[in-house]
Amino acid sequence: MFKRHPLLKYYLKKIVTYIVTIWGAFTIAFFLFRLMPSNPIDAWVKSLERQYSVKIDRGSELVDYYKEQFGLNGTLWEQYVRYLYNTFVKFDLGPSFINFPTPVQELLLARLPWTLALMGISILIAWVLGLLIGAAAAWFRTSPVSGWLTNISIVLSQIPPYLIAIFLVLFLGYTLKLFPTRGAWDAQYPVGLNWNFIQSVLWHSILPASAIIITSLAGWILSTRSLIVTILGEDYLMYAEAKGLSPWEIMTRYALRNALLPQTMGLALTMGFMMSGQLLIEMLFVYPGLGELMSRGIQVFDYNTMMGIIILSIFSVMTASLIVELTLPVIDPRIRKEIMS
Amino acid sequence: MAEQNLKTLLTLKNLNIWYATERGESKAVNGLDLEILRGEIFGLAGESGCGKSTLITGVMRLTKLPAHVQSGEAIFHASRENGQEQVVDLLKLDPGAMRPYRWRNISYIPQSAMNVLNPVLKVEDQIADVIRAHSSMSKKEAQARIGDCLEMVGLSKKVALMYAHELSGGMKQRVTIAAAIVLKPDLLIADEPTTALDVNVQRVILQELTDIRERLGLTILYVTHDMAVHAQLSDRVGIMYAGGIMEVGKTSDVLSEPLHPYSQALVEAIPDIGGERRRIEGLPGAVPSPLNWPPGCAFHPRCKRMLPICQEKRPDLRELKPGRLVACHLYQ
Ligand SMILES: Nc1ncnc2c1ncn2[C@@H]1O[C@H](COP(=O)(O)OP(=O)(O)OP(=O)(O)O)[C@@H](O)[C@H]1O
Ligand SMILES: [Mg+2]
Repeated sequence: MFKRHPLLKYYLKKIVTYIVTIWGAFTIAFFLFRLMPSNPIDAWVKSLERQYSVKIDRGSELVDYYKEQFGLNGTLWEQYVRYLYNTFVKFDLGPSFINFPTPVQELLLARLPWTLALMGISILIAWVLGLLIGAAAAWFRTSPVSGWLTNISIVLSQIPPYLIAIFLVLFLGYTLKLFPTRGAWDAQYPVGLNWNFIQSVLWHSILPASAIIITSLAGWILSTRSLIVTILGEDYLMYAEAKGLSPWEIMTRYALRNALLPQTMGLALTMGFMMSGQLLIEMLFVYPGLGELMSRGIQVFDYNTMMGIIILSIFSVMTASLIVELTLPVIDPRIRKEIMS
Repeated sequence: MAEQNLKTLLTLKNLNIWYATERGESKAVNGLDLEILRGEIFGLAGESGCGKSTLITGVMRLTKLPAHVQSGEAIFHASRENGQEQVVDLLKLDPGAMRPYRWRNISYIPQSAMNVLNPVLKVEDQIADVIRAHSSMSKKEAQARIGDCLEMVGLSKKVALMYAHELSGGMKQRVTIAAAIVLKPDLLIADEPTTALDVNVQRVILQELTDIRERLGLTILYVTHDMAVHAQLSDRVGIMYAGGIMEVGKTSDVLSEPLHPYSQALVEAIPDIGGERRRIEGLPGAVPSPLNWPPGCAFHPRCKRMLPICQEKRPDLRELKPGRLVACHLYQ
C-alpha cells in the first residue's frame, strides 16, 4: 500500500514521529523533575507551617494526604504511569501549589489567551514588517539606505531581547513615563468587553509588544533580504525581466512568492517556540501570561505548574513543526516530488 | 526566402559593452557593427568568450554590473499594432521604457533553460503572465495560444499544467521556445539554446525552429559557436572575434569561400553537428584577453597573412561585394 501511496507513508511517518517525540520529551521532563534534589512535599509542608504557625509531623496523615494530592505517592514507576495517564487521557495536570487546589490546566487556560494574543500578534506584525522591509532592502540592495538598514538589523539582531526590553522599560516607561510598564490592564476598569478595558489592554501591550517586535523584526529583515537577494540572482528572475513583466509582478510573483515558502515555515516554528522563548519579557512586564506563571512556579518549586507549562511548550513546538511538515508538500510542488520519488 | 527586398530590422553601430574589473575595463564587445534583416535567420558565430552573450544581453537591455554599455546604437524597427514601423534606439530608452518592446518585439531563448523557469509556478502561468503583460488576449485565448505553441515545439498540451521539476532538460528548452514565440515577436534571440542537449534532440529542435520561422515569419538571431549548426539553420552568418564582427555573408558563401583568415580557420575546423568544441587548428597563439586587445586588427598576432598595417590600424567592416562584408586589410 505504501508503495503506491508515498505521500500517505510520509504523513503517517510524520505523525508517528510527532507522537513518539512528545512522549519522549514528556518522559525526560518527568524524570528530570523527580531527580532534582529539592523535595516539593517538604517545601509545601514548610510553607503550610509558616502560614498557620504550626509544627507538622513529617510522618503524619496530613503529609500522606498531600502526597496523594500531588501524585507523589507510590513508586516512581507508579507515579509516572499515573501522571502519563492523567495528562493524556484525563487532560488533568494535577493541583497547583501556587493556587492550591486549582488544577494546573485551569491556570494555564486562564493565562494562555494573554500569551497567545501578545506574542502571537507581535510576532505576526514583526513577520509581515520584516518580510516587506527585507524585500525592499533586497530590491534596492545597491542603495545606501538598504546598506544602513542591513547594518542596523545585524546589530539589533545581536542584542539579547531582554536588554531591549529593559531599555524600553527604563527609558520609555520610567524616565519618560510614556507607557505603563507593569501588568496587562489598569485595575480601575472592569474586565470585559468594554472600551475602557480594551483601550487599557492595548495601551499596556505597547511596551512588551514593541520589545518582541524589535527583537524579532531584525531577524526577519535579514533572512528575507538574503533569501530574496539570492532569488534575484537566479536565472528565472533575469528571464522574468526579459519577458517585460512589471517590476511589481517580478517582485511579488517571482521573488517574494519564492521566499514566502521558507518564511512561512519559519513563522510557524517561531509561533511554536514563543512560549518558551518569551519568558523573560513577561516576567519583566509582569504580564499575566504563561511566562510570568512559570516564574512564580519556579519560586515555590511548584512542579505541577512547571511540568504543565513545559508539556504545553513541547506540545506547541511539536504541533507547529508537524503542521509545517504536513503542509509543505501541499504548497511546494518540489517537495511533493521529492517525497513521491 | 526572397532576400533581395528584405528590410532592416536591427542595426548595431559601434557598440561597446565593457566589464569593469579590478584590472581595468574588459572590452568584451568592442566597436561592433551588425545589421539584421527582417525575416532572416541570422547566425552569430564565434569561439567561446568572444562576447556573444554579452552582446545579446546588451541588445535586450539586460546588461548587469559590472558590465555596462559604454557607447553605441541599437536601431530597432519595431512593428506596431497599426501595422506601422517605429524606429527606436534600444540603448537610449529608459529602463522602464524598454518594457513594452520586450517579448512583443524581442523575445529570447536563454543559453541554458535549466533554471529559467520559476520552480513554484506552472508552465502555463509563466507563459500566461507575459501574454497578460503585453496583449489584451482573454484568458481563454491565452490558454489556447499556449497550447498551440507547446504543440508547435513538439510538446503535449498537458505540459502547460506541469512544474519545471517535472520536465526534462529538452522539454524545458522547448518550453522556452514555446514561450518565445507566443506573442509572435519581430525578433527572436536564441543564445546557444541547444548546447546543453544531446545531439538528436538538438537536431529535432533545430528543425522545429526552421518550421516555426516559416510559419510565423519571425526573424531569428541564432547564436552558437557551432558552425555545423549555422550550416543547417542560418540564412546569413556573422563571424565574431574579439568583440567585433570579422565577416558577414550568406551562410553558403561564407562556408564555401571564407574571406577573413579567421573565418578560414573556423570553417576548416567544422566538426559534425553537435560535435566537440574542437580547438581551432592552424591558429598559433592563444585567444587574446579582452582586458588588452592587440592594437590594430585584434586578430593580427595569430594571422598567417598579416600585413604591416594590421598592427597599426583596425580594419573597418566593408562591403566587398553585395551582401558580403569583411573587416580585413587584405581586401581594403
Ligand atoms: N562578470 C564578468 N566580469 C568580467 N569579465 C567578464 C564577465 N563575464 C564575462 N566576461 C568576459 O567577457 C567576455 C565575453 O563573455 P561572453 O559570455 O559574452 O562570451 P560568449 O561568446 O557568450 O561565450 P560562450 O560561447 O562561452 O557562451 C569573456 O572574455 C569573459 O571573460
Ligand atoms: Mg554565451
